[in-house]
Amino acid sequence: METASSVKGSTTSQISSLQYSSDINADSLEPDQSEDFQTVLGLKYLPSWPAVNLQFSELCYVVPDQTNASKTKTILRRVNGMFHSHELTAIIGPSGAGKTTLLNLLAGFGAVCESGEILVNNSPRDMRVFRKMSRYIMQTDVLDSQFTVLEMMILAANLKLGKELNLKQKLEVIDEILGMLRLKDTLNTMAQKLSGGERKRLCIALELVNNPPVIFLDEPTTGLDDLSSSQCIALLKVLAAGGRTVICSIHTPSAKIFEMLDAVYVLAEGQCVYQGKGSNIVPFLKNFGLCCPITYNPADFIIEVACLEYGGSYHEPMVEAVGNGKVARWSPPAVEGETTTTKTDTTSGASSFYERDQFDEEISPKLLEAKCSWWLQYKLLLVRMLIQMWRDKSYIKLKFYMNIVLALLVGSLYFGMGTSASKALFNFGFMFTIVIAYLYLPMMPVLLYFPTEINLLKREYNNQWYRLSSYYAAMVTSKLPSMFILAVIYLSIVYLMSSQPLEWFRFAMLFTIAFVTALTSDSFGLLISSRLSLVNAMFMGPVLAVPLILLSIYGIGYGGGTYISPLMRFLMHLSYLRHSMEGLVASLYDYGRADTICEDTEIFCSFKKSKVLLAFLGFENMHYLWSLSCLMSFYLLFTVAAYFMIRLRLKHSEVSPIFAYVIQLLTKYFNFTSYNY
Amino acid sequence: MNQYSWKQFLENNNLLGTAGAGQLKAQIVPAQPKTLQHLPKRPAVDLAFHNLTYRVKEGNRSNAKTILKGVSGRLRSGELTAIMGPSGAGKSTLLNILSGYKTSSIEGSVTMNGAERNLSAFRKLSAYIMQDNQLHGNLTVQEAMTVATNLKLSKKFSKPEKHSMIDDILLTLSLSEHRYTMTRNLSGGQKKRLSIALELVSNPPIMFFDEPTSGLDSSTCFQCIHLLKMLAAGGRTVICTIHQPSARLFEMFDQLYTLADGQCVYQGSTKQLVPFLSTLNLECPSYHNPASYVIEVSCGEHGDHTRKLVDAIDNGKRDVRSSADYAGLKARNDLVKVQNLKAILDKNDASSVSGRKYEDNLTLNNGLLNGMVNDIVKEGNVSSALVTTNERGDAMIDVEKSVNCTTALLTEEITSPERYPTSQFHQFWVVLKRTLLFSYRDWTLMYLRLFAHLLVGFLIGALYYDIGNDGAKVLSNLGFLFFNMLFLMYTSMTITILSFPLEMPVLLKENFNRWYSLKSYYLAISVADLPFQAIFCVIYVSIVYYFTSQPWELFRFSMFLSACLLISFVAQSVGLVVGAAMNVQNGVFLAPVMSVPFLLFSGFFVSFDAIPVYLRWITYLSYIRYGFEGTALATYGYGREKLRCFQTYCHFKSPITTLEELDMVNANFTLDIVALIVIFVVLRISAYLFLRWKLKTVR
Repeated sequence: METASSVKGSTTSQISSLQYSSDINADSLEPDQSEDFQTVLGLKYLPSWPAVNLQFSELCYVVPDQTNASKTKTILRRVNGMFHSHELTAIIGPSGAGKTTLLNLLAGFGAVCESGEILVNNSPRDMRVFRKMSRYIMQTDVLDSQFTVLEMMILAANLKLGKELNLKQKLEVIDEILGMLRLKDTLNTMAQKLSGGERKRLCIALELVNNPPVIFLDEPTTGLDDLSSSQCIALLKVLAAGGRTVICSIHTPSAKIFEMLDAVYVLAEGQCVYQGKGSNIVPFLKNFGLCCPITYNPADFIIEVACLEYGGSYHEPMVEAVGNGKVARWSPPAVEGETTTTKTDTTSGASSFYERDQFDEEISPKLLEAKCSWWLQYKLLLVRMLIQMWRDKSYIKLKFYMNIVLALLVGSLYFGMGTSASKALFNFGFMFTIVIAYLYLPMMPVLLYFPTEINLLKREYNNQWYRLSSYYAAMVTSKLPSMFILAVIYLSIVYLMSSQPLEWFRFAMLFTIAFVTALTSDSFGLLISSRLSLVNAMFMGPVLAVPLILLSIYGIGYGGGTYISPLMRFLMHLSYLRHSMEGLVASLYDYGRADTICEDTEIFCSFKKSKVLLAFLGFENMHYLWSLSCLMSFYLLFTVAAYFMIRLRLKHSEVSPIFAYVIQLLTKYFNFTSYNY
Repeated sequence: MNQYSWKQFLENNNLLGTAGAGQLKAQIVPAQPKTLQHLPKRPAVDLAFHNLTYRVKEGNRSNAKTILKGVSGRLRSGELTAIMGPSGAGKSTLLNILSGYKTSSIEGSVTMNGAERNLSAFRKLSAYIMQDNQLHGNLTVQEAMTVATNLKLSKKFSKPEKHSMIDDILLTLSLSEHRYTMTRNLSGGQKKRLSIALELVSNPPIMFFDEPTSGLDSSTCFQCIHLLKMLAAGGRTVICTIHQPSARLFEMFDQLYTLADGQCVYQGSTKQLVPFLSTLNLECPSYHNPASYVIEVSCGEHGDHTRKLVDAIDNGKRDVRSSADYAGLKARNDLVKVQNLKAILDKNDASSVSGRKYEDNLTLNNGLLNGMVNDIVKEGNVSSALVTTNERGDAMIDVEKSVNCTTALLTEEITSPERYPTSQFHQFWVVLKRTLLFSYRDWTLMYLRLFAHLLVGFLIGALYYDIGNDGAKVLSNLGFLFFNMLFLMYTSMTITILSFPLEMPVLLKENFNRWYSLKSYYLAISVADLPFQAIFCVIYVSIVYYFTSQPWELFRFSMFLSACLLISFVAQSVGLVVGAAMNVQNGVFLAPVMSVPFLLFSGFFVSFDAIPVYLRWITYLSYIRYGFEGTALATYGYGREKLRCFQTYCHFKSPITTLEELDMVNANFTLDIVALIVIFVVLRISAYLFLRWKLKTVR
């Protein structure tokens, strides 16, 4: 039934495309036909882009050889080509032929072109404009597992369409897209429950929300079975028939998939060996004396030829025959008298579109404006992150209960020590446990969480969903509620059980210091994990924390008369935990605290008065506001530094030659495993 | 002996009548005989299954979902069999049941050479190569093969014999030129071949492959299937699931087993597939791959023919080997269409022509491959292995082959109750050497650890410089002792949390394929990192002990170092337990959380007599407590002289005062050491039990 409806849908779309040619140029159609057109294929309310023809010439791409430092490896060798609108084009070829590299170059995804030119509608490509027109669907599906299909679509619509449409209109758009992609049944399904084909279609649906005219897909059928692959390609064909330019790389297309392709671009060893309709591959190869057996799939056959499995003498003639891609559509020499038009010519709608002059059409400036303000992006992402946390129920419960258990344990250990003069030194240890707890507990999860989260960020950021700054602000803000609640619970329990002075301002001061310490530790962990791999981050995080702990209590017990060198004082100020300790001590013992109780069993209590204890511990010169200011400064410093580290990572900026050379030396002589982020 | 002579090759070529096609094909498959002469001899095995049914629970509901519905089938030795079908048809389930990977919730029987299968003996004879290449990236090809031979072959094979086996296998699989290449630098196809090479060491007569061509390109796919074909031609039973083979790959398979919705829709020779479907009015279009076509039919893309196909093949009980096997179907079809005699005749002619041409393509491949040396022993009937051809040039398969395969051929080694060919100690030794080699190769983490220990060591030395002999700074010295515990604990624990989770895929594969027992593996992993941790600990303790001017007596330093080393090992064990018991996310959170109580009850924060009575039991569980106490006793106990005092009054000048403050006057250093050792042993055993339990649940 699904197959039948799929075929019917394709037929309908092909018929309608014959009549109207393009839903992207709906405004140019005759008024009396536009009504039918929109109900069939048009996406109401969405922006209307002009059709795009993508042309490239003399593309070249070189990478350094992994094993030999002085040599380079040429991935693409001066290839040319033309990808038309209204067409589904597949880049096929053996492994290592350069399919993904070509796709990335055309999409502007990561790779930077060495030489050559890329034209959009016969004009040099403006990368800033092109990024807004095109979308790149990765091979691996990166989706939030905690959200339903509808929730993800609503978020995408809110981020991409902004306030231009109201909620009802957005829901109509979503309904239309999901209907086209046959995902309506999965509206309330969690992403992790979707099948492989459904996940792939959802990735496409998310990017269709603002109707891009150019779509790139990297291996869209990898990991799907036969039926899902056919459905996926049929869907792409529908999208292309609607006027879009759809370009994908496919590993080994089956015969059924191959028949659905409008155009094929075959790469081998970085050069183009064929460009044109799939049905012409058999006569094309016959020119070189290669007869495709009748039980063979022509796509498999030409890839096997490209793999040199039929000898190495066919590569150069094939490249010459198509001019390394300069021949945009190879066709067999016309036999005299043969005038029959082939089926694919009429069904694709491309031939009728050729006659229309689309190249002069200008892009409306309104299309290039950002639909969503920074504030709106921030709000939407913040809500998503909070929902994500809330739905991970088991992890929340774990943190909550462990927090309480730990608080009760610490409280029991220091029970009643806050008012006891004979145990004043132990009360100092109590403050130290707060520092250690709020160093490790916030930091360790970040070291694990962020390396996996960055994949999702990378996909959405590169597809122009939002700005990095709004995402980062939302990420930082989304942690505050849970940290605040856990801190209130923990500190309330330990404060009361240890009989600290029951004055509200003291508790507020202590809470503030502890909370900011937790935030600083969190950003410190983020800074570490933004550069290191999982294993190394897990090791370096705790290790770097130890010097901070050491410096936080250095000099304690020396007495006021002991000399501490200026270098040591400077180092002590570098540890934000030092400022935490000073702030905590000031909270409990400064500002005229009353004397502690000296039990009758003790003959003499050295530390009954706060001043004596502070002098003994070497904290006479501390000041609460100074400590809090330094702590806040460290928090801001780590947060901003982590932001720039992440930004650097996402920009794919080229590594400086000196750094690359040093890495190479380390790899060669010290077996240093270089981790590619 | 069984060499395929060039004369016969030429004659066979002439019989085809298409010299051009033959010449073209000859370039593809060079007729070079290859042999694996030095491997241990194994009996040939035929595998058959009857009415296999498999059900799984669906979510939390009580109803079950049936994956396999009473399928039957037969897998012959000397043949390369493909299990095909759309997604969800049950291919992987069938493969897992046949290989013994799945053992529960199964109905039906599996027989080996006509007798009910003994799973333990079967596991020794079979090998399962998974879809993902589970290889260690830090070994060279030669090293990986050496580890495999040392683990899988018993001691009766000498070292030169093992070398000969490795050379044979690498040469046959075209990996000789990559002998000294790191595994992580191999291409996808080379990794696949290495996975096969590792399992060929024990020369299994039955080999299972799960999607062997997944992720490979066209050329590499061909090489891979060609290799499997060669292995099967050597007398083995080779079974693989495959997704979408190209026509060229499809031609290389001997037998096809197609599943749809848990039932068998075709079983038999690949060359009979198109004629078979034709008799059921399912015509394969031109320039269409028969493999893709049968999957499309199974998916229902050409209408719902599953029932018809299942009935025609009797859900796997029927085995289509020649035209005669489905003559009855054809006759039935003729009867239905008696009124369209002319159309039937035309269709038969077309089908016959396409069938004959298809068979011609297969014959050449079969003929060439059958020229290879048969290295699976078939005692008593060697002459029947000769390939003969009939008038049409078909390669006749010896249908009487199964008679020779009986249970009696199983050697004593196969049926013995011993699970592994080598001793536990030998397995431990080989895995230990391999793990040490990993650490040697991956120096990033080693450099980081060394750097961290040196950095923190010198930093602590600078901060606490000359503090050990200063009576006015005893509190700081106690802080120094505590920080030793903190640093050693965290640096030892965080690394091992990730050890087992990252290694789990390779461990799963090697343990299932009977490379080693879990006990040997665990002991090797446990022991491998101890020397590195010990070295780093010694370096660190030496630095800080010297710079902080702790008492210069050899016995005190020895006591101090012993306590630190044991703390390091115990913390390492905590990481192993967490890594073995939990997933990475929870482990990373719980490890530091659980460590905080141990820090609190170490005696540094609150002296023992100040701890409430109902909480003192925790101090006995805190390994930090024993370490801290041990180092404190090493520094201040056992009659140390008074410290120097540079101030008017030093409260802690006398070491006894310090111990009194810490409530450690009556403490015993030996007791601390014993307690740490006991905790260490308990944790190591716990980690092993958790790992064992996890391994069972994953499978």
